[in-house]
Amino acid sequence: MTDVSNQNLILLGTFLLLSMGMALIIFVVVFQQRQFKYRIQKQLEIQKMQEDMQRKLLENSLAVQEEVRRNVAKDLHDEIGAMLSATKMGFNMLTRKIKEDAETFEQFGKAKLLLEDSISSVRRISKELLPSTLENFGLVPAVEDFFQKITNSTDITINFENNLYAETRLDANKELMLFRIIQELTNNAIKHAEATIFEVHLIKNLKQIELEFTDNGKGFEVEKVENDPSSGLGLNNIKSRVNVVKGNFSLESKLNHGTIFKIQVPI
Amino acid sequence: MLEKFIRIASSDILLPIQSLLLLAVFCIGSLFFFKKTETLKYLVAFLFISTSFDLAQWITALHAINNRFVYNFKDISEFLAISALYYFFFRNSNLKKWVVVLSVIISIVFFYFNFNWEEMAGYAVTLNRIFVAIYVIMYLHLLLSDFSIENILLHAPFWITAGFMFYSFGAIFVNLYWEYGLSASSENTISTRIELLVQIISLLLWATAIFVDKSKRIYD
Repeated sequence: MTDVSNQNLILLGTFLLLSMGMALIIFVVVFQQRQFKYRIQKQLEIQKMQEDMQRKLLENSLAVQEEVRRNVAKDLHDEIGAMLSATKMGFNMLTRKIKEDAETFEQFGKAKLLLEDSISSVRRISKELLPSTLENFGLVPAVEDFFQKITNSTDITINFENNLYAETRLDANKELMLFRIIQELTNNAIKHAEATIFEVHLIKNLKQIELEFTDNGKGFEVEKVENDPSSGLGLNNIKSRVNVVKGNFSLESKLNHGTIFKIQVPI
Repeated sequence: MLEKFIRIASSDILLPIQSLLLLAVFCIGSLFFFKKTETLKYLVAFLFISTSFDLAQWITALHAINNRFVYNFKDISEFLAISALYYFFFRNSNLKKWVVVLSVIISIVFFYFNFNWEEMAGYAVTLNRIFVAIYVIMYLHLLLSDFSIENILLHAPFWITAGFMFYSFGAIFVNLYWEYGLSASSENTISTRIELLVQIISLLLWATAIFVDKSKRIYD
């Protein structure tokens, strides 16, 4: 074979082999990149599905919780409350008959007082379980009513500011969620933080409702509480509720410098 | 000596470029030897063998000694280093067995059938490139089913394999016609230039592998 034909063969063969090799490399790169994007997309879809499912589960569980509360509240108010009221009426009638026996009358009076306490307790518990003000008048009157009871019975000062008109009604679920969160934050601040002054701002804008809850309590180490399943229960409860309505939750806390909770809920 | 060097170097400009680039890539690889992954250590070992034999080729050429035995030893040593590299890359025991079998085959062909101090071990050298091409294809096939790699362009073994693709695919035909390539009438022919060119491209791809080799993850 001549030099020229040898050269041509080497050139052509090498060119062909290198072309095949480069095509193989390019194919691997393109295929791998596509596969990678596809996998990422699938993972995101699965993650979103899982999140949606979790949110639905949580929503259902909260709805069941509220339903149970509503039923218990109704049973307490309509049945036990009614029975206790009837008993009280019976007591009133009996009081007139046993006036002659002083000792029995005195014991009877004590029992009647106990009964009256029971009636008011049942009413209070029933109202706490089913905030009728919330259902009938909306979030702001319910929160004001709730804060009023606290300030009446304690030395706590609560500054509640909002730009919602008293008659403004939001989605029932969101109203209930915000009310429960405010209840939970208030209870935590009283029970754990031993706070004496609360600043509560409830601001509605075009896209969302912002709740800012500040207390002057003893604060806490956020990471420690968040990682401790037993002590972070209340916080997790709030987060779950916010998560159900696709809202945002953040908090800042310093030991002995109080805590600020910020919650945004889309309208 | 310098005159001889200049004469050899000026016979084809690609010759000194390839040697200097080999030395440079080896030095860069050595600089990062302890900072990078195991993959890079295997590559640097391969580059060390290449650089050493390249130096030996230059020395023997300057002393006008027939250095075809150096070329033969360089080729078999490089193949064994490449086999070690792919033995490390492949976690699958079947593929490891293949690497061992191919290494044994080439060693037998080289030492028992094809070795000559004065002539080029043409068949062993050609077989070497074909076997490296097989490693390249096996590894690329594995890459297609590896779902753990996020970005293949940041994966050092991919660049190493791309370099070996040029190293093997680009030299199979050159080595098939090795007798023509070494004939007196074909000095500075296309064979030598192609071989040098693909080696330069391979070296550039291996240099890329050194720079992208950041992660500690190895191929599984």
